[in-house]
Amino acid sequence: MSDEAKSAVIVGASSGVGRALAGALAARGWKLVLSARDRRDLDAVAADLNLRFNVACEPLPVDLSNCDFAGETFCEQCVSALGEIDALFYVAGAIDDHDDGSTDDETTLKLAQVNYVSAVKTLGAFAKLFEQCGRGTLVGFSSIAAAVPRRQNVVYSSAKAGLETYLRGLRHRFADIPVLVQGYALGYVDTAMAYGKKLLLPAVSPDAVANEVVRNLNRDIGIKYYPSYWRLITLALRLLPWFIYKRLRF
Amino acid sequence: MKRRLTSFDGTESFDAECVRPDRYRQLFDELSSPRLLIPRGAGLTYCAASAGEGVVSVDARSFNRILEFDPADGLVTVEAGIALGDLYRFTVPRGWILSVMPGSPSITVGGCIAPNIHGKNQYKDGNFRAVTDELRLFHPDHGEIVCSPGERPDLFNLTVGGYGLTGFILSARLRLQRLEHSAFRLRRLKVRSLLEAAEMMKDLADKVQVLYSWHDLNVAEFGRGFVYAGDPLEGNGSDQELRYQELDAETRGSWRLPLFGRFSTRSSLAAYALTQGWAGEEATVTLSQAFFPPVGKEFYFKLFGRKGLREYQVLIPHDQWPTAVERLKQLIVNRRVPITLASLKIFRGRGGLIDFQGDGVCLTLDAPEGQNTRELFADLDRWTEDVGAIVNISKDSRLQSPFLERIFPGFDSFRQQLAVFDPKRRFDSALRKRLDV
Repeated sequence: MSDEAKSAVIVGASSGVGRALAGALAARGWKLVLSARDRRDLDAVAADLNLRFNVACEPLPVDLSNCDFAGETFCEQCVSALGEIDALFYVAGAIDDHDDGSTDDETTLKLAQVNYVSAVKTLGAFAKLFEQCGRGTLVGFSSIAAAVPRRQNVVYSSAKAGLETYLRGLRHRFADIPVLVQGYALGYVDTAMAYGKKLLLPAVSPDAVANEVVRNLNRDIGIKYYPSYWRLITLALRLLPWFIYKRLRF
Repeated sequence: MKRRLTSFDGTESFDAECVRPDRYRQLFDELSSPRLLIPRGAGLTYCAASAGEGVVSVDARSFNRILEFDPADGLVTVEAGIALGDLYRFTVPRGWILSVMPGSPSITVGGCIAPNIHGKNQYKDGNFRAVTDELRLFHPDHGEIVCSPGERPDLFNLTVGGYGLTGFILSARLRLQRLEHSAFRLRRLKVRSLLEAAEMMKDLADKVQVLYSWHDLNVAEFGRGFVYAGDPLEGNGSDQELRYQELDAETRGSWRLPLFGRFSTRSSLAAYALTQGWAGEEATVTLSQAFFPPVGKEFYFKLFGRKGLREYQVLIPHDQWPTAVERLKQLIVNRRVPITLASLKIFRGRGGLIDFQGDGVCLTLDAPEGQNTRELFADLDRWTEDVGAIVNISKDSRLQSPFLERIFPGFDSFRQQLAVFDPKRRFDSALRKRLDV
């Protein structure tokens, strides 16, 4: 399948779902801007995709944990690299092993910054661009943790819940023009975030997530749980009375 | 995370600490920690070369990208965690192939460098060192180092065939072979003995691209079997897509009970010989079938059950071969061990340090793990020493340093060079402890 002449920006492209998504889009002929913190990783991913699929991949390192990160400047850099842009995927995320709600300011800020503030800055800047162009797809990645927060990921889950709410609002704003806003609430994915953790259910591969995202590209799906059984599980967990929920260790 | 890691032969297991970095920052953090480390690829080495008690196994498979490709000279630079099957899918449509590949496409490039593996015709193509042009290595005490046959050749030779003990291979530049065909004419030549097979193979070694044999050592006609000789077949259309089952030590041992006993081995090998006989003397096979003959036959390894298997791979000098075969027959008949696989290849060249390389006949034997097998293999160790042969260290979890010191002239030098390069023994494994290097 080829979508020649299409182009996208992937934020968080150096590993996990972002890297898999870059591979899935490059295999379909998309031109890409690949963004993440470290240039060395980006250069390797870009070289690989360029050689395998003969597509233009531009590495664009960016530090999303930096408070000075400017979404509009980043968006302008992407436009100068790609010209027209069809989609933005904000896949980047950050977790911390000690995210129990009593983390130090620096960690709290980093978690909030990468998972929410920089996400909103980026999505907001591209929302403006797509509105001007009259088309485009904005995709944000949340987590089932947003629906069922736990003691191990307090700041992370609240930031992802914020992002989900932001995506819902943005979708409502663009309801009448052909700018799609999609969100994925991901369950367990076999990435560095999940590696070594005891999981209740099997983790899906980043490639499976990437294929699902590509399959839904032109659909107005709103916020989608993936794998979809997580919608039922999170619903059931949310319906649990507090005296049971508080006893859960998951 | 703690994981139970098992050697591919299933005979060694460890509760090992495993990490799977997927970004360079994370990788260098792990590699710079004060803990003992060992790089790990697909974990398909028969012995525990990428795991050990108290050692952190660093999974390299996220570092599997193609970094550079020169289509004019056939040079490809890859991260060492790339699987051969993945590399094959990249190079073959572009008219190039890595000429030295072991049977499983799941093996990583790092997993080929570490034991300096050989391919389907070592006589013609050499070991993996022959196709390795340059390495970029990371060691926490030395940083990033580039080595090649021309630049720091000692470190290059220590690393290729160094079982991951010199550090983490970040990337490797490999020399590919021009591919002008997409299929092979595979001749299946019937032989009545190991001696006949070796003679035939010596004649064919520099004439064909793929050359190996299969033998039944459980029958009165000891060593009857087939020599497989593959020649490129020009203009034969496109190669079929390479599809394979990922193989690892855990799935290998997923069947609890072994199915190879004396009777079942005899009958299954007899049935295999029959099907090979019926298949005729010649067949056209795809490139992937010729280079990865075990693909589609992965169940063979599962037949050994959780208990596992033992493999003995030995390189016997040509002048000792006839005597060696006679004694081998006596040993196998006396011990009554079912030999589930016996295969020959013809080798040449000079091996360095502890390489499995030299002039002679390479014999591979598989048998189910058990007391009788261990006794037979102990007999084979004495036989190996008597005939001046060497063994493949990566294939056998029993081998101990005193024996290896006697049969490898370069063993002591390997130990000394490693001690100079990594005096703190930052890189460690069960294999290293067993070899006492």
